[in-house]
Amino acid sequence: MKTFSFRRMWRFCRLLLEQMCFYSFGKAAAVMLAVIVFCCLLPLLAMDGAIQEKMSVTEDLIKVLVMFLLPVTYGLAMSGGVLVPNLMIPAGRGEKFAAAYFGAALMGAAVAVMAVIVGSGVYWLGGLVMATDAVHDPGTGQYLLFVRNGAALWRTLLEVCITSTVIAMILPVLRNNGYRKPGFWLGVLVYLLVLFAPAAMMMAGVLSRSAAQVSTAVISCLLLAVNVWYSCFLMKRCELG
Amino acid sequence: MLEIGNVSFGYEKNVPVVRNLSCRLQEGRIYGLLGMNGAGKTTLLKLLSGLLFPDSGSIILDGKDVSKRSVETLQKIFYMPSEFRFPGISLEKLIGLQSVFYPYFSLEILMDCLESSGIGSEVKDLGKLSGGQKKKVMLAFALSVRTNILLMDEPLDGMDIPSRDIFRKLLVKHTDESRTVVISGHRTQDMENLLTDVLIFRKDGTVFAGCLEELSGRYSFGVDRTGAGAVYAEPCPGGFRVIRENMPSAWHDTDADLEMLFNAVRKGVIR
Repeated sequence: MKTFSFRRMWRFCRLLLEQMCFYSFGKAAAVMLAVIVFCCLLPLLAMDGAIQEKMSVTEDLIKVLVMFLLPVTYGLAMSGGVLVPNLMIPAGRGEKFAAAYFGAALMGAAVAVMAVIVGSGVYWLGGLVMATDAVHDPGTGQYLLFVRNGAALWRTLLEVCITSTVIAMILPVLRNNGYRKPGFWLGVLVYLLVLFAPAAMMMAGVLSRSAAQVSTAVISCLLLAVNVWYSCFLMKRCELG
Repeated sequence: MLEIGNVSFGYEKNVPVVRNLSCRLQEGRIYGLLGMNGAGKTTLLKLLSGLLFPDSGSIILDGKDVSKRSVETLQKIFYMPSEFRFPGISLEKLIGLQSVFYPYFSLEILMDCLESSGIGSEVKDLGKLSGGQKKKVMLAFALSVRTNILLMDEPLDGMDIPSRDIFRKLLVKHTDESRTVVISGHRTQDMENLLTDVLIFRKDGTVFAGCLEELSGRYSFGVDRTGAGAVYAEPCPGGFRVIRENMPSAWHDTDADLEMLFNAVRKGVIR
């Protein structure tokens, strides 16, 4: 028998996604839609200033939503509510692990696509209501959230990816009372020091800006790999603990 | 075949729940797991299903260690817990999501069980079923996945008397020679005429394992006015309910009284 089957992985992913969305993708999408609309309306109505600044605030709010809300919900469910009832499902640990990440990525992607389409639509409508032409890019037409000029898409993706993984990793540890051990906090401290070391060195004048950027990118990729490995270890401990 | 080799397990150090258990669970047999509340019935079922891991010893299913939890092993075991929740979705959706993991799932068996139980196949919201109805649905699913090992933790709790009868009939109907069934419970009346073997938890965490056919040949179960000469006796209206040992040359079958047997084992009279 295959130790890793993509078909089984996808079936488990489908099961997880259904459970995460309380077996109703429609309701989950409606909730997410409402949150995205709120993230658009809040700066649009409450802020003064150029429309691009408001869009920037909306993007930040949605990033926070995706970076924190999604992995927090996912992490909590994975560590207790979803994994445990599914322990007897005949799928391999690798398949369950891959399904969890694939599911998280799918949810993140769905929220991002929804945010671009719905958020941009809300701003377009806002532009009509407020009778302003500022929501239109003179060169390319309608401004789209995240993909308009001035919004660094790759950086957003990297931020979302790293932060989501870190939070998803930390939550099972918190649930396992790992926070009571000094080693856990030492680990978090070392993690943050390593991550922000290039930026600190740049501010201290030791590294140039470009060298700090390259160093941060390399360290982030390494830490991402560590996160993936460590969360796999946590999942194994959750199943075999 | 499920081979249990010298298994010990405890949730705390030096407080064993299961102690030095060794036995073989054969195909085509229905085992009754009996014990007092908190004796370790659920713990043993979890050990057999790979949800808990022995402190010492091993549990081997078809040559593979159950605690490794390989896909192949998990596909051969179905564990029905005593308490569970169904999400508020249709039966069709739940079956669609879960049955795909079991290669020998049979829709015909599922439908037969649901129809026989009076549930029917059209359940729009599983969350709205009563406790007994949920057990029937779970039992139907447990039988339809056709795993080699079926472990059921107090499946009859919450079921009305006709449903218990249907449960027994369905279990016998859909249990073939390739299947091993272990049912835990503390109401021996529910399991009479269903079991082929018993596993009885003693107070010290050791387990008595016996084939009912052999036990009913070795011992006579009945009512006696005085109880004299009995291996085990307990008072009842009209005298004593007794267990007598038959002479090996004169072994004859009498139906084993599970309650008497349970009490005799628990008190250490039958070892």
